Amino acid sequence: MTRRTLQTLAVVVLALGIVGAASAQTSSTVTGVTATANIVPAITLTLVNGMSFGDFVAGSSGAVILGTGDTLTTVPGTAFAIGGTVSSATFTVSSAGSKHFNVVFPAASTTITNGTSTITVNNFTFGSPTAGVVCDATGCTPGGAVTTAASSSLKVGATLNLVGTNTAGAYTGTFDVTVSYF
Amino acid sequence: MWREVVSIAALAICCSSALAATPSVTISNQGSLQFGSYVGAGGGSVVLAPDGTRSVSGVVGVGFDFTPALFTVTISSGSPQYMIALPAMTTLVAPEGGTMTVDAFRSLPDRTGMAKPPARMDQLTVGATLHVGPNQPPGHYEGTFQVTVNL
Repeated sequence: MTRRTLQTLAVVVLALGIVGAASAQTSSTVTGVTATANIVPAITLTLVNGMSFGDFVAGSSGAVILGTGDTLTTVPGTAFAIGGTVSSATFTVSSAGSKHFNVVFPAASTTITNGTSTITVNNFTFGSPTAGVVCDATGCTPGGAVTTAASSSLKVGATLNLVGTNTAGAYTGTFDVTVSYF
Repeated sequence: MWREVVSIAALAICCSSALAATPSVTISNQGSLQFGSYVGAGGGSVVLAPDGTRSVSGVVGVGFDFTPALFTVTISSGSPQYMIALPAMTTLVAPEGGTMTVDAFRSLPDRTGMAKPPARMDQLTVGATLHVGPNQPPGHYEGTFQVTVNL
């Protein structure tokens, strides 16, 4: 009787031991871990229209600020604007949606000329009306100039520095604009 | 007498088995492997190290949205050491078509790790190398891989 009891106990405990051993897990695998990468299109800048300050009376002098919204600001009693075509330069930026981009003016100023006389244009500024975010001339910081569309409009303004000796004529010149992903 | 011997032997086996530690190891995924965004152009490669640093060759990185995959490893008892098995490669696919290969998986810790008491938990990060083909079509590429840990 004693022997039988011992035997029975042994079998019961052995069974428990097997159950314990079966629950041990010496290996673990996690499957379906996600890996992602994005390929974005190259950023491009296309000129829609150039910058035009409009018409001024010869002999007037002073700074004329062309904003990024086709608006002129002059100090009363200095440069005398008499209309003509007033427009900020307009570009189309094509880029990946939701990516930041920088706008850089490689040269701080440029010169426009009528062949005999020159006028300095400087203080380039830009705004991004489509995105509704305006950046300063040193570029955009993270969080600025986010394009939510694949294409956005970029407006560029500057300051025209008239001097009293500027002769009459049509003044033209060029400037460069560079955009790059932030 | 014979029966008694068998019983005692069985009891010995049972008890040593029952008393010994029965360690379990578990790995769980906390974050995906994100290579970030690139302008493809002529193609190239991106090495995203498990410590989170990135080096690019031939492609231009856009933004800073890259991060290695994150895992936690827990060991219930016994030796805290575990071994890490990484895949050889996987393929990322864009819905619009186009594939990219990911290989050279690396982990931190490298190959073996320790889930020491009292927490008996360890954090594991995994990076890899992304291969971008010439004129790789723009898109959001996605794929999966697996990681195994062994005691």
